[in-house]
Amino acid sequence: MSQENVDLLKSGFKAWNAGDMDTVLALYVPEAILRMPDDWPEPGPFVGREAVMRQFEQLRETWAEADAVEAISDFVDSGDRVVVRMIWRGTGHGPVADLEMTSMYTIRKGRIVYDEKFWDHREALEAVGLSE
Amino acid sequence: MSQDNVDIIRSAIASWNAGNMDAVREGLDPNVVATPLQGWPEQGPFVGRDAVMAWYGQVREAWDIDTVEAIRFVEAGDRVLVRVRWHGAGQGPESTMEFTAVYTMRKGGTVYIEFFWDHAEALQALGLSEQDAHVDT
Repeated sequence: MSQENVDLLKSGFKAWNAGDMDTVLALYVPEAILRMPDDWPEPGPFVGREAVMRQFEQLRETWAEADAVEAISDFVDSGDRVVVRMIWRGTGHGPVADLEMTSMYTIRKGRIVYDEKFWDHREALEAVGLSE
Repeated sequence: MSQDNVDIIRSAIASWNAGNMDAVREGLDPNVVATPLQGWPEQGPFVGRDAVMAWYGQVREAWDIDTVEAIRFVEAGDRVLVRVRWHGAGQGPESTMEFTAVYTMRKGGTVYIEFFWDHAEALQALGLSEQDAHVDT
């Protein structure tokens, strides 16, 4: 099950980078919850798949040309959760942006129910009871 | 940290039973989300401390007196599972319900609460079993 969760997320990253937001949408349960990192401009939480997707779309509009997410750590799975460090690159408005954060996904029955972002990778690992 | 979290939830249950809802409220993160039991009349989710407290107030109004008895705690990273027995009396027949609450904790506050009728289902949802979960009674 854990490897399936990891594979699910890898396919999600791929879909995001291909601009296939319908596939990204389908990864989330209807009642999904998204929490952005501390001090994010829109604090949330975003509750419900449509609210989550609106937040994602809004974020993507920040860059006119392109944005892409890249995993820069292993996908660490623990029970129903997967933690991954990622870098989010965007270009098109102003300077190129490289935003680094850690995502902690809670996955049930093949879909994301809870998606939480952390600035600090160690904090995310500690949340799932692991250390670096 | 996890033991601290268990103590925080234990304390919240004591506050609930004492009718000290201000203390219950203080244990919730301002942006807490609560998802009720499957089939519960109010579907939720309830978003934010005010909404969760309003829901708690509503469910307590069903009885003149109600108490929550923790049967066992399971700690798993930042989450605390509590199997509880909830007794209510005073309006109509007495009621006893048993369910499992899963609290996700951040910096001493609860950010997410899920409820499951079935304890095994809660453990399974979190990818745990009774054997590998640390149980605290």
